[in-house]
Amino acid sequence: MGVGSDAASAVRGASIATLADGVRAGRWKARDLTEAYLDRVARLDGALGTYLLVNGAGARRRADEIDRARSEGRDPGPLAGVPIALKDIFVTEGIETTCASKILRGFVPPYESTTSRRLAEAGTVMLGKLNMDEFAMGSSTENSARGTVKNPWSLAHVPGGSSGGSAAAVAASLCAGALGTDTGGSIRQPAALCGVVGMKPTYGRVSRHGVIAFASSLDHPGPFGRTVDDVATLMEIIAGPDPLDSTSIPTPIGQYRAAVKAGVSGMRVGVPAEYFGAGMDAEVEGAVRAAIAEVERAGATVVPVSLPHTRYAIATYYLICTAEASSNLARYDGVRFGYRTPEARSLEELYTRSRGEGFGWEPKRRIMLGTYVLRAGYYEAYYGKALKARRLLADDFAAAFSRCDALLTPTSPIPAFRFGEKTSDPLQMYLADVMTVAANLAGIPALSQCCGFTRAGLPIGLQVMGPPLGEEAVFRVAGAYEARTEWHRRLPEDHPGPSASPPEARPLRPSGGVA
Amino acid sequence: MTSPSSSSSSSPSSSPSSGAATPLDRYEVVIGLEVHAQLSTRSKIFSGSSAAFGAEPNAATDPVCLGLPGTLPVLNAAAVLCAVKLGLAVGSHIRESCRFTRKHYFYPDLPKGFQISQFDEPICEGGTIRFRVRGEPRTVRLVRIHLEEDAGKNLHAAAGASFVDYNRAGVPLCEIVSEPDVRSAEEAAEYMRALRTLVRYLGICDGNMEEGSMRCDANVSLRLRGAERLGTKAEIKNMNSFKNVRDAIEHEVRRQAALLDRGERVIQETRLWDAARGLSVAMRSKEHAHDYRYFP
Repeated sequence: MGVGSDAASAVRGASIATLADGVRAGRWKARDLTEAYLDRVARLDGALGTYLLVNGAGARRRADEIDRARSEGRDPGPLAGVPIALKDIFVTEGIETTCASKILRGFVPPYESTTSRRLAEAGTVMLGKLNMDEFAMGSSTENSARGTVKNPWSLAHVPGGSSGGSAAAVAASLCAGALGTDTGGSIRQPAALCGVVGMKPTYGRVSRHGVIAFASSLDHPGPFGRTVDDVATLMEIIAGPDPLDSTSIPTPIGQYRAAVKAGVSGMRVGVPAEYFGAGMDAEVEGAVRAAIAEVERAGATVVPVSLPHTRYAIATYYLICTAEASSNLARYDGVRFGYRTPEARSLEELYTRSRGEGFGWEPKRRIMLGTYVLRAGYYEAYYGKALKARRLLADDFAAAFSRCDALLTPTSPIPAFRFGEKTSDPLQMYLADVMTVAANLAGIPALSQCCGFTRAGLPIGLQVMGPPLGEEAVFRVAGAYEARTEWHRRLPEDHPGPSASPPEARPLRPSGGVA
Repeated sequence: MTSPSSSSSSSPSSSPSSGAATPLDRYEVVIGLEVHAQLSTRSKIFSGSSAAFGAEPNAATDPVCLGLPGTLPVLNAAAVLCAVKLGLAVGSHIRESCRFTRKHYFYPDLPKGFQISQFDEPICEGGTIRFRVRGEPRTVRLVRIHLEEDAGKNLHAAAGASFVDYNRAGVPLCEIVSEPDVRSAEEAAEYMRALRTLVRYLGICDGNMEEGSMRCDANVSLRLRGAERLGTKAEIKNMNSFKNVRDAIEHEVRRQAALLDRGERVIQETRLWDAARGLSVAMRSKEHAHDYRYFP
């Protein structure tokens, strides 16, 4: 057991590179690492609630396969034995996938998402499915139909959302890395609130095949990690063209890990005035300004830039994302998969009751808004106009990137807020996305990393944005900043909680097909 | 101009000829046709499962055509080629870029809650179908030809149980929309015949109306001879043979003429042809018209 207990103490705060190198060097078996993480999940997730489902048996089986492959001299992949977890929006073959919604309870997909398949082929071990806001709609993970997630830095605070489970699980070392999705900030904002690194790549850089759609033109799958290098490592695995996603970009991917170490000398970094306006927490502003100065000391030239249409971003975003959501969520009708009301006496009742009972309030609110936006006679006034504003926002970025290589802003104007603080007023919750939605509308890459802590001990996020397919520029800036600071080394305390550990995945047959 | 009750040699009509006072003495018949042709591609328009007719229910399906969460459509190049061939054959303008649009409605045979179709940027615009009616050349102009996916099929069993077969869901369709240039039921049937010959010759559709690989909807209206303005139209659906096309349109012409003769108005509605009973029944009226929320 010597090796195993070494793994148990080593995984807390471990980077993906450390774990992958350790397995490759024979220091740990994949099974040891898997057991170490599963043990942490069993002991610590009762207090945090990050996992909706633990893939214990499947993970052990996979880890043993990897160890066998290694002992037989076969190459089990660049990330062999690294335990990761997936936001429950990634479709997993044979493993229940619910989007944290009652309407998808019992849905066991007959196919695997491209992104999770690529991670598996790289040798990672999938530990389980992570909690989120229902259908990725929310900024606090309070909209999950299956319980809230606590912020590992303070159990009284939200982890952000919608990928709150992914951010909190990585922060608490309940997995080495995770996947999330970002439609309006849902990777970057929880990464900021939980003090980890999260990246939303360029639209089309990471495949959406097998990612349950919320707003198709805004949905961006992406990775979470403890460090910028971890996120670059995961990007090198998951990014790239996919014939199953017609919007994926055919261009080959960049040298992301090399960019992390490349430094920023000669780079021009823009600071948009519009992202430092009223409503910003003073501690957040102070930490972000200090981070910009640090990037300048690292050798970049800082230039002021302007993104004049920023104030239209939130309105534009909520028109487009609700319109697309109302369409994408039409398929949850109780006919083929997921929840069906037991009560229906007619086809109309089957629809209205299955959807009425299956969806939570936030999806319902967005379906109603989106249906209204797309109504005949309103389409041009709302959706048509939002598309024009979207173009103006993208033009703002294009103009800014003609003057600089990357932009630095806060990720969120405020640190983690308390449970219930914003749930009574949806508009307040929507405003939590003010710094992040424009990058989704423009489809540009953006990353959040930790740049300090409030006096109360809550993490503060720095956002680095780049031009389309400018992931390498983003990694250069983020890598250079991280190399000069220690924030990413801080770990939240372990909170051994109630022993109510998350449910184990039972072996299930796919239910997605038609019987 | 031919009378709607006159019959062509190949499909004898059973409809009674009313002799002296045919509606066409007073009214001009105006018909526009929408023909759906299933394209003979091996796989479906947005996914890999077989598009062939006749498999066991739900055997020819896959996650995409079932609309499972997380799936994305990938356009079948063979379906695009079929539409382009047809467009070239009828002299359409082939668009350099065309666009697919979601058409929203709820029905059990529609897996995603929307049909992927084309709306404002169809693949082919314009064109003409030329044919002869009793030796006389006729030309019907086309508005457009667009690509879309077919829906599945509801099957109603005894004891109130219903089943859905999604084999047909995602089979590629060309919708061929004519201008309102057709002037009689016989002409409509001959138009269909010409179109069937064309798609068979091009090898893009088997043209089998009984199996539903060619389906026709007709927009029928009447106006007083010499009038400029079009009358109110009714849409007739479910005509799965040339004979059905003729019988249904003849019946509709008589129905509308009788209404107009009595000084009543034609209601804009969709009517379903019941070949067994030789009549049509109202399906839905314009007041209950769907807002399809077309959207890219």
